[in-house]
Amino acid sequence: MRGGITWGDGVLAVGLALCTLGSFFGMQYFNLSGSTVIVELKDLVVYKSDLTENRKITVRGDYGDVRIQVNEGRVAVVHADCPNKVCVRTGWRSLAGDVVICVPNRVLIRIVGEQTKHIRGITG
Amino acid sequence: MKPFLLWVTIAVSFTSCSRDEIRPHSRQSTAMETYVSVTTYDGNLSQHDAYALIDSAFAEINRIEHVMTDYSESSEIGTINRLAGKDTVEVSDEVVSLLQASLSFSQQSAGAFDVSIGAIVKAWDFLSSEPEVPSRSKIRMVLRLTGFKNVMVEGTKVFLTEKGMRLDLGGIAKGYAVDRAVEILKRNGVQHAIVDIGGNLGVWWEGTRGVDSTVAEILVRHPRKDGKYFGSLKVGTAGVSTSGDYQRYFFHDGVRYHHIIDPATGYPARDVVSVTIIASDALNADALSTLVFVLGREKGMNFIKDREGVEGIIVWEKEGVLHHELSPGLQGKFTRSDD
Amino acid sequence: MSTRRITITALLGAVGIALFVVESYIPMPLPFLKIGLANISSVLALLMLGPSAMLGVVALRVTVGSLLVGTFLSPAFILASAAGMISAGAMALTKVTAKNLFSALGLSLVGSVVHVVVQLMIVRFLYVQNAVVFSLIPLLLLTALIGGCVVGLISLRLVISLKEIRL
Repeated sequence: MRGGITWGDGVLAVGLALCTLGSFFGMQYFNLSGSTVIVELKDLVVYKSDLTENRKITVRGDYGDVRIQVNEGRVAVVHADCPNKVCVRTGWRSLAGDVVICVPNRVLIRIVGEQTKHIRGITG
Repeated sequence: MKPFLLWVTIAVSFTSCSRDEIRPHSRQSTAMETYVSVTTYDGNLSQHDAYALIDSAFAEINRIEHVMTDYSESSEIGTINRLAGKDTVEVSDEVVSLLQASLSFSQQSAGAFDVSIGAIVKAWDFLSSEPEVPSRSKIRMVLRLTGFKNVMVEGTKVFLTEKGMRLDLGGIAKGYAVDRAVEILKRNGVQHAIVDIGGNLGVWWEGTRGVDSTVAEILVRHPRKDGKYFGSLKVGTAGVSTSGDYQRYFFHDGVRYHHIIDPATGYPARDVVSVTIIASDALNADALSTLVFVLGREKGMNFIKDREGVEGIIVWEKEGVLHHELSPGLQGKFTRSDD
Repeated sequence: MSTRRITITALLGAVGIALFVVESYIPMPLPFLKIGLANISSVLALLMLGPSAMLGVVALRVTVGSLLVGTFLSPAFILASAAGMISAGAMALTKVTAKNLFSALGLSLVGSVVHVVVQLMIVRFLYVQNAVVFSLIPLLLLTALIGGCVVGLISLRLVISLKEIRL
């Protein structure tokens, strides 16, 4: 080694610079989720977990059990003891801002996170 | 450990704040048989003030629910229904103006929107655990109890001419409540906010207007794929609402029966799958999405085109494939994302 | 082990500790963000004495350094020591396998990048059960790039100077 900068250094530095630049732009497009599922029973948070971590959660409301499943970044009520089952029929929800509710049992499932990136409303 | 986690939080919020100056404060709850979400995006608003204002928006929504619900016999609407065919009812200016707005929609659409549809809605009862198709004779009966021309409004007195007639503000009350909640925030100096009652959105962004602005991303749910999105568009201050056959429905003998009933036939309107309306406020968006859905593809699109400041997306299904049409003002502004 | 070797190891260890402490006084917007000046001592140790001496220097630095700034056995220490040792290992491996492909600059860049990656992994899987920490990636990479260059160029210069004085 003569003590100077080698061409290997140059390649490495340029490569890293490109990676860094890429990561700044990549963050805008790649949704690293970062979303959290929050389950509330009667306005109290009873459960909180990462949306990417598969879980089965059961909470007990006034009408009985509400079974919630978190699966591959989505959440749904898979079973509910309530008169009309609107929550079960809601199906899977996945985006920050999405909500699944069981009104009779007063169970509210919210997806939060990445709010700073999007000013977003969901219709339909 | 504790201070360390604090630093992580600070670090993360630092990186996100440096990107743009949005500081959302949000609260979700349930009202009007669906979810309600109120979010403010004002950077200069303290957390305490933001939540206080959000709470007053919620209080307003709850107040409106108590006035408009037909589940309660003592609400203003409940009282009108209870005394249908018997007596006039003195109601608040608020109810009068909402009824007049409804009747005006009815007149403009030759009854495609009808606030007196309550008896039909009750016969179908989409909120029951096992909804079923009402018998033909039942439908014939409730059809006779439907007709906006039999809703008499004089001053602050309201009278339904037939016994058994019922008002149902389901096609307009949520939009109205969204507007009222936005108004509360606006009056208290909030400059940026989104109010959402079951997918009826009120976007308030000072200095912006409708589809000409691009501050808020609006995702439209996929009518046939659970948890997916059909597409997105961007808006400024506006009301956005969607009526779809996938929102409340059941299958009977392989046929989809959904909650958007044609007041003329007493059966679900069949022409389209969903209608999304972007209007100047949520009341118009809410009512027009139902109205256009019932009118169907062609008449519905013409109705949208005839109205200043109203844009829409109509989705229909042909041989299992979804097609959509945009109103002229939305051309190039809606990105479909399901293909 | 020659006396010269022991002396230089101790010297570089001391320089590393000093830089570590000095750097802890440099205000940065976030605690993770570090130029990593102390890494100069690791790079010099690697080039002058070889991999094993470098690992010794790093171990000495993170232990004594954290005792001095008062973070010994705290999460910050676990982070610094694990990330420090692994990144030192990565530099050693690079030096051994790639021989003279990289100068002090390249080695220092390898060290700084591996350092932030390891740090992030530890934070994600041990402390914060949420992928949101990954949003720090761009910022951390940028710091690693700048820090790696600064440390690398200083080390490069020092290697030449130290050769001249025949330490």
